[in-house]
Amino acid sequence: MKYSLGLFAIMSFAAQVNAADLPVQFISMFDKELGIEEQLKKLPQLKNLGEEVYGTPVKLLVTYHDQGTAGGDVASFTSLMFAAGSLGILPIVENNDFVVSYELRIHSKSIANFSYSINTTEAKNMYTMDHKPSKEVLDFAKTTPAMFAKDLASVSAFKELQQEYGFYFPAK
Amino acid sequence: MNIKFGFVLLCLALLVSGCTTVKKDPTALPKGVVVNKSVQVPNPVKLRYYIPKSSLNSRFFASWRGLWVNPGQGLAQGVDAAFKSHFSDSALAQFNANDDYALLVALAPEWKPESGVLNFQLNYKVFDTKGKLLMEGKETDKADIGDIAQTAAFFNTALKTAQVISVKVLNTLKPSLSGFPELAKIDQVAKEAIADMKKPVSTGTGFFINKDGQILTAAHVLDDCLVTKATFGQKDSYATLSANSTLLDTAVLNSEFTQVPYLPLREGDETVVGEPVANVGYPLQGVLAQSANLTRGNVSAAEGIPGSMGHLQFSAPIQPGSSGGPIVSDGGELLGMAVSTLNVTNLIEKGIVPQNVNFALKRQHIRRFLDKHQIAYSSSKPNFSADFRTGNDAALATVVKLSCYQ
Repeated sequence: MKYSLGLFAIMSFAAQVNAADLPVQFISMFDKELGIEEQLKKLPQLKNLGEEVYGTPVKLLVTYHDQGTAGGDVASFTSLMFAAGSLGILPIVENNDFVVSYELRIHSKSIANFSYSINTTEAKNMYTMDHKPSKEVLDFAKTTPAMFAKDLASVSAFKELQQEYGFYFPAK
Repeated sequence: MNIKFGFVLLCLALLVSGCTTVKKDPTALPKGVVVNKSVQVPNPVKLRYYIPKSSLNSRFFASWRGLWVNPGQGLAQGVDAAFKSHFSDSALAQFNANDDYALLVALAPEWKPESGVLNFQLNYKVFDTKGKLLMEGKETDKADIGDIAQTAAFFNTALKTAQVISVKVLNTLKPSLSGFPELAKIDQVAKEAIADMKKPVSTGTGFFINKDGQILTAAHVLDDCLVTKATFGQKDSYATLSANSTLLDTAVLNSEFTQVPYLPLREGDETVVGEPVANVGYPLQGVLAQSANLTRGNVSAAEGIPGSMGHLQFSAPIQPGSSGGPIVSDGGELLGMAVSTLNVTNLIEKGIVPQNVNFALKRQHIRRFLDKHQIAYSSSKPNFSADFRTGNDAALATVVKLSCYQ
């Protein structure tokens, strides 16, 4: 038996979704205030997107990570050495690709995966370094739902799921 | 002072760079491994290799680095790079009607990480188009786990062992288009020969839905199975997929069993909250009894949790392996099929310990699924006056153990 339900809050036995819109659970590393979920909900395919439809087997995961670049790793390492050698007077310069990934899953199986990235260079003080996304990358993240919308339109597996959902759970 | 400090920094830099494993060059063969000069490289013979899905999908979250690690990705890339450097037409076997091969290499990888070192073993079998076993053996390697984020260790061990296997295939079989002129369809391959049939990768439950031996089960029980075996009583049968719905998590299998007892679906769509039910399954195989386990409970709610698709909630205890088991009324009618339970781990972290919260796909959705795929079933009127033994016996008589092999 697979544990197919990921609950983060106490469950409630609310009415089951029986509309013709496929329920998709939204799981994101970004703060809600960024508005990614709200942008996505405007898409006709994702009208029934939400964080609290725990029971649906269809999940949309929006995650981000920094990916080192070949030159960036060298620059970062060298500047780290200089920063350490100067006891923190010189900054650490980092060059990374900030990658935002959208993954659609059904029952833990990935059916589509899209990534969007922006190259960033930052100078940080070694004593005050934090790993929170900067304003620049958050502004970039806000533009990714539109890119995802374009890509989602070409995912035939998702279209088939929507059709199948309509067959088993027609709108009343 | 500055010189000493600089020396310390230099040592630190060397230490850091020494810990970071880099991906090896796929065109450079390991020491002592040489392709015979008489063999054509790149080789034109069409080679396909099989890797179990459970190995390819292997993935875990390295909490200390805050990222996902994909050993399967390193494995796939390493093996692919190794074969591609010797065979111009090599690829991972796709079990569909369009893919064919002249040589088929079935691989079975095993990882054993221990204290910073990754021990790797790659078992292999090589088949021709007739399914004849031409070669078999195993290759081993070990690597520093190094920078786990780059999956280089997984790539490097897979690359080296697959390179050795690839060279052995070349040197032993001396493949050429004249020596291996035939192509065979991948989906015609005897999958029992390729899969590891010694031990199933998972087990689950199903039950007969008609007298022709068709078995209803949860689709996830069959995830990525190369071979599925159904066990009914003391008899085994290979089972093949007839229909499935990933959305509903439902599938029907054909088996070699005939004239079997089967469960009828209760007529109508009403779910009676509080109705006593029995669930039968083969949970925790290898831990619990090999015979079917029967548990009893009630229909606890007519709906599942928000967003769920066609579920009812029931309280009869279930365990891993119970998926696909029937939820049967006292009258012996099918009310639903066990598909999932609450993921208690997250709730326990919040201080909540849920009990007996399990979910079954309701019969009206099963009925619609069977109708859609034109699969025979029967219906019966509700019998609320029956003794509970009637339902128990009906469930026990129709249940089947399913074993998944890769």
